[in-house]
Amino acid sequence: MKESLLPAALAVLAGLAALLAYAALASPYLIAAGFTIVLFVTLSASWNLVSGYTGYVSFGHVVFFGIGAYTASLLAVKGGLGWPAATLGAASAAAVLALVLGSITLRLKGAYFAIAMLGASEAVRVAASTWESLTGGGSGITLPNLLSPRGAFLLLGITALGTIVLTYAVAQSRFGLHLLAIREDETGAEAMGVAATRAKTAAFVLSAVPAGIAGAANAWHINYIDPESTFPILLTIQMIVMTMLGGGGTVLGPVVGALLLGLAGEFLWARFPFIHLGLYGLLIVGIVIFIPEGLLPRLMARGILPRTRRL
Amino acid sequence: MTEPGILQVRHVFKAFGGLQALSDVSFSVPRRGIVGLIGPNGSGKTTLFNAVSGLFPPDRGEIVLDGRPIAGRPAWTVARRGLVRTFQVIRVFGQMTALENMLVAAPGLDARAEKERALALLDRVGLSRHAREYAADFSYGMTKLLEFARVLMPGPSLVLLDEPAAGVNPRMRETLWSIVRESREAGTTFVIIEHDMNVMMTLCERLTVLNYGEVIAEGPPEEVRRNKDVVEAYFGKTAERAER
Repeated sequence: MKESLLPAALAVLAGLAALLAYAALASPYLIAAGFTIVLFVTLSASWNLVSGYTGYVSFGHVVFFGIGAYTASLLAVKGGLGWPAATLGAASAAAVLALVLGSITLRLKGAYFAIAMLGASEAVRVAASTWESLTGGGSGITLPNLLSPRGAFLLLGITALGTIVLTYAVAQSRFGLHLLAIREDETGAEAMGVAATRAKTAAFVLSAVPAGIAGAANAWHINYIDPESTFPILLTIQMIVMTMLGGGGTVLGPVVGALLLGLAGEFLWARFPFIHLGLYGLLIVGIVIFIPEGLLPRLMARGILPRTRRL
Repeated sequence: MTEPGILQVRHVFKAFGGLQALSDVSFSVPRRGIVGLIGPNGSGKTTLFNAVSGLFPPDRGEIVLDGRPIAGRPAWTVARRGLVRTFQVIRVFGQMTALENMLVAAPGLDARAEKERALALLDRVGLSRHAREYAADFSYGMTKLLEFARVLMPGPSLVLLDEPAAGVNPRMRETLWSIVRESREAGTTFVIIEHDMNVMMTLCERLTVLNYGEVIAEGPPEEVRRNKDVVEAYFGKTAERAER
């Protein structure tokens, strides 16, 4: 397992250089478009970390994005913190929420877990819109301009890169093997000594952190949050679709899916503003029928890509 | 027996709805022994394995592994205390390579030593050429062998084998039984469910016979073979007459 880390390290450096160059040179329009892409990469990679590897499909992952957005905004507006501290607060809040939610919902199997997470994210959204004294309710929170769009892009871009590196590390580790074993056969894994509930909860917490940071970065980016735009179910669905398209339980699958769907989304938005959701639906159907395992695993099975946990 | 066995099952009961699957089951497994668990289909053998390995808790009764009570403990704790098992319905991890399957069960050595151990065990069951293939692509017999190799991976003190030879070709079957004997020499204890009576008679030092969830006989194979209740349970009364 101890193969050379050099290719991975070079890839990370190249990614970092590309992010810095993009942030420095791109036009404001391209920064906005790039922000969407790195948002998709971060969220799908974070969803993949728990759902792709353990097979526990979370239909409420947006709750971590939302709690991150609200925590960051409140810490900035009511707590007077700067963006770095507020972003860390967002990450911590997401981790704590994942620990609490996970230790309850991850005891449920299959569809029951998916439904419990859907309910949990809706419950938090409703709480955000009714707890007016804290959250401003439906009218949301307007933020001071703490971070430029370029800064927000870079923050989220580095988070995306960090999430990929984290996934890479997990995929090579004993912990990662345990997660995959849970996905394949949880009873069998437990019979071999895998502490499944503990491993799933750990993966859940790890996956919540980047989503929480993404919520914060999004708040810095648009300077305004409200319950409808920070807890959209559509965002969870996008995480699922992007990961499925690229291939769950792989390091780069969600990245490939997010790039493809992110770019396609820009294209579809621009050309077909009225039917783009319909096209989206067709795309989902197409994926499920033609490449249910995802692009990367398909390419690995065909021998076009090497079959390795490093990709 | 002066020395207490590695495993004691005392007065264990388990019911599923109206079906009493285990009824006051008591038996003991001597350390470094090979014990056979036999009985007609539906007699409670697998249920007993499931209760002992922590898949579900018994309704009543004690299960003691190495002097520590394990009844009702989750399967992963029981496994980490040295009791592992195979399943009648195979539970290999399909979308993982044979090597990865082995490493999931690794005992927590350094990575290189674990990999060497895994490859050596795979080699022993004739799967070393397939170490990097997905278990989903294996034949039924190969998955049985993989599961058997995997159960030895953590260096367990007690192994429960639920029909390990079913679907395995005759030559590999012999290998499998000789690995059981070797592992026993190295200090591992085995409890085996197997329908091939010839194997059970030669391999096991003791047999425990279940019927309708109750232990109807226990002892050395020769003794059990002559037991009237056992013959009746297996072959019915006509067979008993035939034997006379």
